[in-house]
Amino acid sequence: MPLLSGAMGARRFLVQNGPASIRHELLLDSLQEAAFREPPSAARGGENMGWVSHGNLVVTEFTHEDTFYNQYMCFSLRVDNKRLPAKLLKGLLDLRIDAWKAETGRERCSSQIKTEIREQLELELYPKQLPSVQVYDICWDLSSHRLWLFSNSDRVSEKVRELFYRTFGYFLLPVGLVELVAGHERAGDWLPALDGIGHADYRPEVSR
Amino acid sequence: MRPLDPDDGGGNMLFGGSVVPTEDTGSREERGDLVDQDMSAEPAADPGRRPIANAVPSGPDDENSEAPSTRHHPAAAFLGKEFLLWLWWRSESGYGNLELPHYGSVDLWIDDRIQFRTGGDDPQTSDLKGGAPATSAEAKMALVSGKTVETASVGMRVKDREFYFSLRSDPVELAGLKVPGEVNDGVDERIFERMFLLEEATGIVDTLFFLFCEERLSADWNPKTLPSIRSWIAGDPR
Repeated sequence: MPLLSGAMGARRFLVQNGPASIRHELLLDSLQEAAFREPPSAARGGENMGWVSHGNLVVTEFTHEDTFYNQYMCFSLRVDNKRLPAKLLKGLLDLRIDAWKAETGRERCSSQIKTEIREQLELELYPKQLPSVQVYDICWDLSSHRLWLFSNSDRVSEKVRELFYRTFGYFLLPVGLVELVAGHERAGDWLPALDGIGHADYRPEVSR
Repeated sequence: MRPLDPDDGGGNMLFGGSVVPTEDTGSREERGDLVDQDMSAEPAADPGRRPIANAVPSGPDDENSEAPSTRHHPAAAFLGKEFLLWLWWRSESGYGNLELPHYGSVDLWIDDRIQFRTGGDDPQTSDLKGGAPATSAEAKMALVSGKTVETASVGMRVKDREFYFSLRSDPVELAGLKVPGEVNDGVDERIFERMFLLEEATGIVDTLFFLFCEERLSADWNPKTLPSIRSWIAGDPR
């Protein structure tokens, strides 16, 4: 929970066209609609994500007290990923195919049968498998329309941007160096100057 | 997708959000509506910063945005690497002390790790760890051979606060930031303190970047600054 303790890896975003006036209840409602939900069936694998309380990843009821801290709105993205160990699956699949061959007296197993056996195996194994769980804290500064994602991962960043847009209807724009230049009071001089430069060669003359 | 308030295109401020408690404007019943906080008040801006709502790129699928895109600016490919090298150079000049607008005196040093790489599709990398690798001959040799700084662990002291973090060149952002937090109890207090420290660390790095821009984009860069950096790399104090 980097928002509350430990080392922080942070990526900045600008909330494009963020509202000047915000109704907290609407934000909470939106968050609630896109809250993390357990998949309808435990017998399915894959990724499942949604918002959770920043204090506890199993809490998906958002309260004003646990979400808003003055200008900050704090919540987390939870991403569950349920996969079966590939080697275990292959070993069990081979055994089942051998059993099917022995039972039917056939030498070969068609790909259609293999798929059916595999699906049956997955139906049996997935409910026994717990997902890997990742949680990424988010802090939205409602007064400055900036958002901090406590992760440096591009993959996580894209997930947050996508779900944030679906949840609130605002784009998150990553703030990079060129955006910093564009935001400076001297942007009028610096941006055209940036157009005219390339990577400088820093090697001393003797080594060039 | 449900825009919260489609008629409301409030002023975006990329910067300047200091940690200031929002003034209580009365109870919900008193106001007679559901507005909890008036977010229209602009935060106190740091020096040199201005709203850039129309100067940033649009979202990934926003084809209708009229904002000019800076995302794919050619300088984005090298600006971060050059900034890290400049930071390293500045940390070894003037005992690593810089006087920054808004923040005052800041001590800066490259800490215990620095990573280099060559360009191209099949890059060579060097990863120097432990002790003070930035002062080693290997580190300077990496620069002499044309490698660029990819990541550096940085130490920073402002007033009585020390920060340690890893600064990446692409994109430039803080990783593994250790902040000198003192509050242990209370969720609210911890969030305010850590956000304050995060914004302070980020604000200092931004200010350093603006100093770099000032030098990098000035007319003195080619005749003065670049030769000085090359001399420093060659070990020739000038």
